[in-house]
Amino acid sequence: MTDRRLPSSGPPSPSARGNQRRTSPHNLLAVLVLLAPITALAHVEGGAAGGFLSGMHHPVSGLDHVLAMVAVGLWGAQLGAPAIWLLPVAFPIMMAFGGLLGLSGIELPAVELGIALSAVILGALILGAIRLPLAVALLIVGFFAIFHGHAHGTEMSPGQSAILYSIGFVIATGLLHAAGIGMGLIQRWNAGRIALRGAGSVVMAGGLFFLWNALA
Amino acid sequence: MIRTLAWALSLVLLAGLPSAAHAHLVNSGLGPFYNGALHLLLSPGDLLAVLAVSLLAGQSGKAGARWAAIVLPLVWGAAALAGLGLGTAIEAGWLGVALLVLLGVLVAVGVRLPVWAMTCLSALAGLVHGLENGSAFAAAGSDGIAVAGTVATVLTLTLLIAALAVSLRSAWTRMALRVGGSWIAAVGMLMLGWLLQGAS
Repeated sequence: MTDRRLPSSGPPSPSARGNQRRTSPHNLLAVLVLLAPITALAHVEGGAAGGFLSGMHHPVSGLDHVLAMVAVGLWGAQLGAPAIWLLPVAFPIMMAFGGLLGLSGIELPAVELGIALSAVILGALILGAIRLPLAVALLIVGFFAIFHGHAHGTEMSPGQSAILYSIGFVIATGLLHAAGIGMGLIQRWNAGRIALRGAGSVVMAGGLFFLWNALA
Repeated sequence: MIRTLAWALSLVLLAGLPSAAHAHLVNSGLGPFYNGALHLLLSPGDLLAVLAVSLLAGQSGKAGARWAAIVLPLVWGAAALAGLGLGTAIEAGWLGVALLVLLGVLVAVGVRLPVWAMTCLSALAGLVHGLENGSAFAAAGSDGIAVAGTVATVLTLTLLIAALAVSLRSAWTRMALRVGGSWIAAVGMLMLGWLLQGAS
């Protein structure tokens, strides 16, 4: 073994000499054993917690989904009662129905196209401040919700808790609606109504971008 | 021929081996009563069922809520004791999830059920989840004290949630209740899909 002592200005102190005497192959081996990597048992997002977090994360991980969810809230706020709460009631149920179709192996045609179109149409409805009959509004929202559920509700990682994934997924979607409703409350003011329609144009532009991608 | 039979017999024996029991109570460190209470609090399916029944009961009015608060814990406890006595693994996943969807949709639609219907639904929920709880307790080697802990928790949660739901007066809080129902129904529907795929 080569001597790799650092150059020092004077003779080593007695304590330093003592430390050098204790450095033996056994000590070195003990240190190496202590530093040897062992199997990592830290599963930050495994099991139940992972299922919930994964479900919460999924709806907000895709901008197309976020745009449509927020747009449902915005449109509901623009339409006022009872649509403001009926749309967010109808959406999760129909979205879960879409997820059920996906999990049952029933394929839907042009899912990505449907998701992109949902943002385009909802954005256009907000931009135009179009007041449709409640039944028609529910039909539109429910129809597009099926596509969102089919695409996103079925993407749980293996080994995670299905019920906690579902709970996280539904809660995150509902919170996005709530965010849309919260933002939509600005329509109480004249400037707010214009800003709301401007937000509709943003949703529509985003939808057109995703539509372009889906068709490309 | 004998070798083939031996292989076949080995495979049958292998397939017939009992699988690892997944039913286990979380040890609260405070004894079996609290283990049972904690079991419920850590079982999202059971919690959702209690939540759904309580919200629907509160939405149905005081009389329905009172009956639900009596019937749900009682039937839950009786069924859990029956499951404990039977000692066999009882899986009522489909029924429990279908019930969750029904309860969620009823809350979302804003139905005010008559007392007899609310009582029947509470009893059905208690029966399904109680039996499952009881069989899980049997597999974990627990006794009736754990059941008592679970029943006490069911009673407490039902009373609190149903009372809160009954007391809701303003339009937006009633609206929030129905949105909550739609979320429960949505979770139930997704769970139906996961059950089809064999996940839990």
